[in-house]
Amino acid sequence: MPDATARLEVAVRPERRELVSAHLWAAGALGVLDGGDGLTAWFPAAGATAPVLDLHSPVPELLPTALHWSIEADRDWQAEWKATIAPVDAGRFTIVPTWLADGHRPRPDEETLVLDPGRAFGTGHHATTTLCLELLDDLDLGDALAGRAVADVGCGTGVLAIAAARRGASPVVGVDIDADAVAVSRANVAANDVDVELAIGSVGDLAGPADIVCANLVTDVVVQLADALVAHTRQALIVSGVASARRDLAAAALERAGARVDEVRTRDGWVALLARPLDTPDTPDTVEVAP
Amino acid sequence: MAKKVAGFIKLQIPAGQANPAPPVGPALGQHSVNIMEFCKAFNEQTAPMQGDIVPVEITVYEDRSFTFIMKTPPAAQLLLKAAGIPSGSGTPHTTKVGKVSRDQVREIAEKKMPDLNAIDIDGAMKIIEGTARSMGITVEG
Repeated sequence: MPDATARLEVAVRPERRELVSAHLWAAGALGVLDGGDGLTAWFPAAGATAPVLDLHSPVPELLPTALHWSIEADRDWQAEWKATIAPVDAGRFTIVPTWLADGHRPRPDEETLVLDPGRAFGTGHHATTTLCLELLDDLDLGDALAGRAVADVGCGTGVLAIAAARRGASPVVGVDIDADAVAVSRANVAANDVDVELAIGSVGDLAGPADIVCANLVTDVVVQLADALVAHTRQALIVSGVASARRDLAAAALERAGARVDEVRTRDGWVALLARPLDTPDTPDTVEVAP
Repeated sequence: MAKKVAGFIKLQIPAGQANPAPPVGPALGQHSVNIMEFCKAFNEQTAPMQGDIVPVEITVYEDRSFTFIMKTPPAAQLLLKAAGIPSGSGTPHTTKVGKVSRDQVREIAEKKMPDLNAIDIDGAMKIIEGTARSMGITVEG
């Protein structure tokens, strides 16, 4: 990610905007905003100098004198949103953002997780996360998570791994292909005083199978990793990040990989699936989800 | 009950590539929207459209929740792709920079049909041909 981007504002009549934006894309725009008197486009910037637009044959709107450049310094674009965040409950878990932790009063029996969402996913406010936490909480009935190995694939902020560790799961590992996510997870693990091993990587980088695997990803990655996810699961696999419309795609991939989908939960247009490998014997030792 | 609309944002982003940097960051940040949530939803839904520029219209409500609808890729973009050229002409009447066939125009018109104010496919093709002319792209056949 560049340290800064150059912001270009040009006045364009509404009926010409599609045409002019095509020129902006051709010149290497990162994105185009349509609003106000015209278009705003962002370009990669080297330092504090505006880039020179490579326009083969510029339209009148993009003649050099019509271009208004400014430098858009990189900052935490989420800051405004952060200011609006309240704690969120999911099962017995309550996620409290770091900036509210001091004044937080827990419910009785609450398992408080303190999280800094930073730039990675998993504030707990997203349905994909709360669904995972609720499934995890159900799996924990009778303290069943205690002593079980849990792996969180695509750990983001580390919320699922931290929640499992808090309920006594051990060992708990979290992997994410995004180095920023692993750094955020590391800070969150420390803040919650739990034992979670973190690494940059994917399911293939896990040392071995885990009793419970959580994978809050997106459908395409779930489909792509289905075989490996199921192969690394001994008892229960929680899959999330699947848009409702793509649920069958994810379920079919898990079934092809040799798992049985036991439960599907839907919220806000997202689904989470609980699957079990077929070769798992249905012994009393198996973790059961309450009906 | 209908929620009160606090903002309306029209953005073009490459399919599957939304991230909190510009343009999404500055465009959504000022509305106190959870940018990551938008990025995740957008990338998830546009994953099958890799390579396309996707216009997206985001409605932000007073409670900072949002909805968005995705439009078909801009006709100009589709025409450039069809003609195999990087950009249109700045002087379309005198400088022609490429050509597309009538079949290609029909294909684009069919793709764009949901977002065009056209009664039928012939009307949609006329709109696409108009865009092609304004870019210095000749329609053949």
